[in-house]
Amino acid sequence: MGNWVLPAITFLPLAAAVILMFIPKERVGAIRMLSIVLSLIPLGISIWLWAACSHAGAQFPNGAQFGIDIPWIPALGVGFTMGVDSLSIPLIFLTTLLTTLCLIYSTIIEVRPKEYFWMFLLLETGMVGVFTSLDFILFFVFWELSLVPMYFLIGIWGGPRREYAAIKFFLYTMIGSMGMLLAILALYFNGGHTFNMLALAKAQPFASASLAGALVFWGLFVGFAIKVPMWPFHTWLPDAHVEAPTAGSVILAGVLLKMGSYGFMRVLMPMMPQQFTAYWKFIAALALIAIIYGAFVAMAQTDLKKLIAYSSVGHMGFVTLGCAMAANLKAPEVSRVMALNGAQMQAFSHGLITSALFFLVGVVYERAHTRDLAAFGGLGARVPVYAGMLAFCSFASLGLPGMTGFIAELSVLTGTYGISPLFAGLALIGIVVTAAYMLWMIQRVLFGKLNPKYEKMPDADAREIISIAPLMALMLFFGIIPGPIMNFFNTASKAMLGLLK
Amino acid sequence: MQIGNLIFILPALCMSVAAIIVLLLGVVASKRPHKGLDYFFPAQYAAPVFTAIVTGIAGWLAWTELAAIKAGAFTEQAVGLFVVNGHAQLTVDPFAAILSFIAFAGTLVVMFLSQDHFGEDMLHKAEYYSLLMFASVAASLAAAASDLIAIYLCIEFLSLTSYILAAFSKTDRRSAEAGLKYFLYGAACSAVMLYGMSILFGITGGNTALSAIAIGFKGELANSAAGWVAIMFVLVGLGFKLALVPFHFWAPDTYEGAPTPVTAFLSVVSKAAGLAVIVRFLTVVANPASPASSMWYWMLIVLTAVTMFYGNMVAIWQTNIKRMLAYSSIAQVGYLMIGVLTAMSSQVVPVDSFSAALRNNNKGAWDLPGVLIYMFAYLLMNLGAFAVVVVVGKRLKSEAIDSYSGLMKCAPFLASALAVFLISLAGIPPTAGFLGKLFIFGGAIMTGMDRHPELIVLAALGIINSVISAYYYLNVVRVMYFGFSGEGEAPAEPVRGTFAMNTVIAVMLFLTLAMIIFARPVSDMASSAVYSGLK
Repeated sequence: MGNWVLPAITFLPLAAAVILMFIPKERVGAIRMLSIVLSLIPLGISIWLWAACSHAGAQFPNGAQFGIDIPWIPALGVGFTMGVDSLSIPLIFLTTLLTTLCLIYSTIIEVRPKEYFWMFLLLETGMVGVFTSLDFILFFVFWELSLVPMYFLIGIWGGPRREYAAIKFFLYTMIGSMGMLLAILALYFNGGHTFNMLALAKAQPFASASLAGALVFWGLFVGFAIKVPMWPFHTWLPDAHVEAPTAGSVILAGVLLKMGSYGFMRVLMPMMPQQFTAYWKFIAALALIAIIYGAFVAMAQTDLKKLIAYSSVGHMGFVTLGCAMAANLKAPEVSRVMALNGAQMQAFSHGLITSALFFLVGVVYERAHTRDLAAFGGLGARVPVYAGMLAFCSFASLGLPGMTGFIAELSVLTGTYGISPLFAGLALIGIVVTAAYMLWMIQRVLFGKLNPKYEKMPDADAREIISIAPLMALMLFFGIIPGPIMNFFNTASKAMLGLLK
Repeated sequence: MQIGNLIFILPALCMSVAAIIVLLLGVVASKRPHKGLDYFFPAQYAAPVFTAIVTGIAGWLAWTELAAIKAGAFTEQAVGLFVVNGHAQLTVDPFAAILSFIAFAGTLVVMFLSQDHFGEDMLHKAEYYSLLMFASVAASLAAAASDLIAIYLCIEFLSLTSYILAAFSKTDRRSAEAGLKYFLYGAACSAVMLYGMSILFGITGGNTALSAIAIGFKGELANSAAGWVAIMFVLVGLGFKLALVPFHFWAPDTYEGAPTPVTAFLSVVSKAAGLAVIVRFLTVVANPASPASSMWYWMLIVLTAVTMFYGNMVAIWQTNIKRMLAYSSIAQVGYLMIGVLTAMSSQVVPVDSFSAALRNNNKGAWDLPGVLIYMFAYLLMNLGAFAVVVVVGKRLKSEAIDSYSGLMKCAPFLASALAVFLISLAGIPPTAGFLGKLFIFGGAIMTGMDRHPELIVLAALGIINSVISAYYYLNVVRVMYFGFSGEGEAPAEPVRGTFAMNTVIAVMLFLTLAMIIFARPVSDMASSAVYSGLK
């Protein structure tokens, strides 16, 4: 037996979805209210987790906090095992926060609202479950569970090419996760017939170099890299992001991509450290390509949403770069910790910043019905509140000091510099280009001549401000006082580096 | 033979009696239509009631047998029936008992489907329902058949009843075509199988029991050309029943032409019977521990891979949902065959009986429990999908996938149920199909890492195929859900199933989703059914 708080936070959204089924679909107001209110409970629990967890307490793989472990399929050695540590708690917080904000933002959804909210709550269960489960089968079930509602969200409420984007997203991710399943099974049979992630991280089944070990590593790696997405596995991302409804893009960028980087840190690094350290240069090179390529491609975009989507590729590149750098065994400990801290911070901060940017894209799209950058201009004077928020978030995204993006990128770069100045220098190109296209985007949207079509564009309303302002507040708060969250990352990094030997 | 042993085939016996009663009811009723007996006990209600009772008995039997074996009360002799020279013709071990339960449960669902599909006033309804019942008897006995004669009789009995059932819509030309095609292929394949059996009989010194053949087969004999040909020919007959490529040509036309409930029956119950026989035959007679069998083993490996790819690749292009499900069920058998081949290759020494084969097997193996679990999951999800197709097909008068457009609007329950069944068929968690595939692919990897690397390749191919199949399963989901924006175009009239059909679908839906929650009892039962240590 154990602690029931993690099953509660995982399955409460599902329970809410079940309750929702009993409300007639005509009562749209009740559906909206109920799902928002019910989504506050997991949010509350995640804040409580944040406060209640102890940095001195057990860290993966030596144990987990608030753990629960019940035999589930004993014939297979599958357990209902859950537990959290400093690595997962910030991500759970991010998930529950973004879900609530998305639900608030989505109250404008007019088409089939009941199904929409139902899918969203189901999605939340899948996402939280990925971060709470410590059993591979459970992890995999949640991993796939988060796929299905997203498929529907893109396919039903998406843009003009939604059907293509939905199936592309689904098949792409499914290919990755199926390879992952094979790799998981191989880990199981070599790791003492258990799916328990703690036990597998301790056993490290493929500790000696072998072909099987390499295959298993790449199987897992591709599964996670598709999700992150790393270059060259990123091609589903622009389609999915552009076609998804606003809240869908927010969740995609804010949480689903984090599941990939979480997989790197929770699965690949602890369970296959030998392979990870052997291939660190290769992974770092892919990450660098993602950073530079993502930035340059983003610069070439004329579609605002696509621009943000490609900026995600670049930003997530810093996460994987940090992970790869931490795997360089010859480097000084300080730099490695720094790089890994930065990677986690970047994941968290990208979840805040890019989500806010996607919200802002949605806001302007609903008014103008276009995302073509050439059609905008001069909105700064017309919609000042919106302009302020867009400028704020763009600055955060390009790494302005005082916001989370800066802390994150600074940590990754400092860590990288201590290990390989060349890589740090190359990554810097990405940062410069990012600054360039973000500023250029602001210039094209907010300054210049106002398109007469948009003379009557209304400013951001209360609903939009409520869904974006908390993200901005957090960007600023953790940008100025990074201590509270860096504590988490530091603890997690030390635990992880203890395994990377 | 002890009379008391007959209890093991009690479900089949009861079912036969019930089928005769239903048939007699029909004879009496045909004299005075819509009056008298038929008025009070119409076949379409009497038959499911009988079947439900028999399913209950079969379930109880499997349950008590499992419990008794756990307690060590049974030996292999005890569960053998019609023993000749120490070799039983039917062996009702827990594996057979569970598959026979699956056959009866499947038949019960098919009867509900038939009720809805044909309605009250079908022609020859007593004959139809009694044929279904007889077919289920054959399937249930085939699961236990451990003798060439018993195997041939059961398979042939099942085939003959199925031919008639496939052609039952007399006024529909496609149905007649379905029946005829099925019959012609079936007759040819069963003749080939019979020839193979006669060779086996000859070269092993006049034995028909599988265990006796296995003893005779141990030495040089297995290397002889005659032995090789004999096994090959038997596999042709069994491959036909399972619709393995290249013996599948009948399947798509028959599945499309036959009345939908019959299609459902053929794709689930009839395959369960074929599967049981092939498992027994391969593990006992043709297990690759004998050197010559490795040839068939490799051939089956290739056929399994081809079957999966063929079924899925062709299913992608189908526009008729029955035909799509037909091709997809060809691929599904491919996944099941991975489990069978794993069980077959786990044998390291020649054995002389099925339970000996199981005893030799690794106790923690996943393969045969996986086959049972996947078969049960397949029963739920495939029959569930067919149930929705029956209901929708009757209301919309169409089986084209395009006609499902916007089904979510006019039939939310049916559309959601079909979506779950299809997602389960694709093997995506948290559904029953995922649990089955986890066992089967996991089992293949376990044995594969031990000594048969080709099984790992097969599991990888199975996984690639799951992704391919997700494409066309989700295509139906896309049509149902994405095709409309909420206003206009979709058919305005709601599509509703009858109360009985909705209940059946709801039960299957619940089980499909709940199986993973109850994975513990399910997997415990499956592994103790297979590895309970029958002595």
